Amino acid sequence: MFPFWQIFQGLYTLFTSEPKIVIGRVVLILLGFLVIYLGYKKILEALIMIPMGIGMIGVNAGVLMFDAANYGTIFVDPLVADPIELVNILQINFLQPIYTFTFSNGLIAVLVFMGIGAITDLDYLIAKPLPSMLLAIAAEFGTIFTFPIAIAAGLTPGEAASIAVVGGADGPLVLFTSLQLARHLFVPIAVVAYIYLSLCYAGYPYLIKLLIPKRLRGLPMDLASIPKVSSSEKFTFSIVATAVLSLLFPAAAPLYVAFFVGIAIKESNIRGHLEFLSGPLLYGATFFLGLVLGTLLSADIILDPKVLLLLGLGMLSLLLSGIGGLVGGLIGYKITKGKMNPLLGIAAVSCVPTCAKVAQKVAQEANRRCMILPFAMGPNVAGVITTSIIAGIYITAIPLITW
Amino acid sequence: MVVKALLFSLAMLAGGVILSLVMAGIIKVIYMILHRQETPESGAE
Repeated sequence: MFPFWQIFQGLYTLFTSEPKIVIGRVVLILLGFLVIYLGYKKILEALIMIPMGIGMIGVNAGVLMFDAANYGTIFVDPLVADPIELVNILQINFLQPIYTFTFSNGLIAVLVFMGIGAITDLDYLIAKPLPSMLLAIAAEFGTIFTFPIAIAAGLTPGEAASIAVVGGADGPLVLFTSLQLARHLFVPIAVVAYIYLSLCYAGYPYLIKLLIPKRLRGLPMDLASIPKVSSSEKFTFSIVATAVLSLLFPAAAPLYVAFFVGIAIKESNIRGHLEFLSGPLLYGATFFLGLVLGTLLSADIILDPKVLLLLGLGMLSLLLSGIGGLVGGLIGYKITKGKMNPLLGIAAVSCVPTCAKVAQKVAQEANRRCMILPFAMGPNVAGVITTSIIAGIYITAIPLITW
Repeated sequence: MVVKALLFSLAMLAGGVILSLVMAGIIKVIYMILHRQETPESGAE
């Protein structure tokens, strides 16, 4: 008799897999719906979450039978290592070429960074580098101190550093660090990072309101106090910073080149390049980042027992960085005798430009006339630089130290 | 290993502060040099 019920293989494999996988698939499909809804409602970052949620639903629903004993999908296989097998799979899995040629070598992170560089405003950072950089280092609290906590929780130094970098709130840097130091955990760490980075926009306002009184949240800053910075100053800085940081941390040089080439193109006003970097490149890379991350969230991969630990440590890292930034902001408020809005500290958690927007949003809720966004972009960009410095130290030092 | 990791973190914090100051210094120097070139002296006007 013809096995009709095997025609609908997504359902057939759901009912014939082991219970752990079945529950995992159903939960991830439902989570996909939730992520899409939250992205659609703009509670989470829609640019990433909508393609990611659709990818999650597709990969967990679309499991088929290769033969009686082997189930799988035709999306992507991140675990394949054998070169001959890889060449075969590249011709079957439709997202495999994108994963193999842009994810597993960090290219996608570099492309996103180029686009971010092209939309980044450096004025306040160049005009007031010291407060921006000091706020940014305060906002690295999670990136720095989640590392020993993760080691105490049983992770290896490479794994601990990779999850700690989530506190830098910079997706491309997390991808890059985990590819260098904990390739086997790249998928869960990348997923944890992007889910949490989307949550920054929704979660940080609550942390701010918990720690900073309303009077200080709405503290206005004098826009006329920002000195005018010319394009040539910003252009020169981008070139010098590329050279200095690449000399110091060659392991993270691709990221420096990507970020600062974006800035250099913007400041040299090469319109064609700028439109390409800030439009098709940034949006194209972000779209495929979300979609491929979603398809990587299959039940068999995400059911790694370390994922729960990574979820906890990732949240801790972002929380510590947020607290560090806000404490730095309060110290800045005291030092400047009340001239600096302490919310600049949350902008220093990087995640350009999300955290700067969070600072502006919360400040405006407290005082409708409060405009701190141009100031917040300084520590925001400085946060990218300090996170890349910390990531560079991790990538370079951890393999050299005998743990 | 945890103590070693904690010491590493503290050293990284110190290194991060120093490197941040260095970067801030570099930015300041660029700003001062280029800003002076681009801003005409008040007397020259």
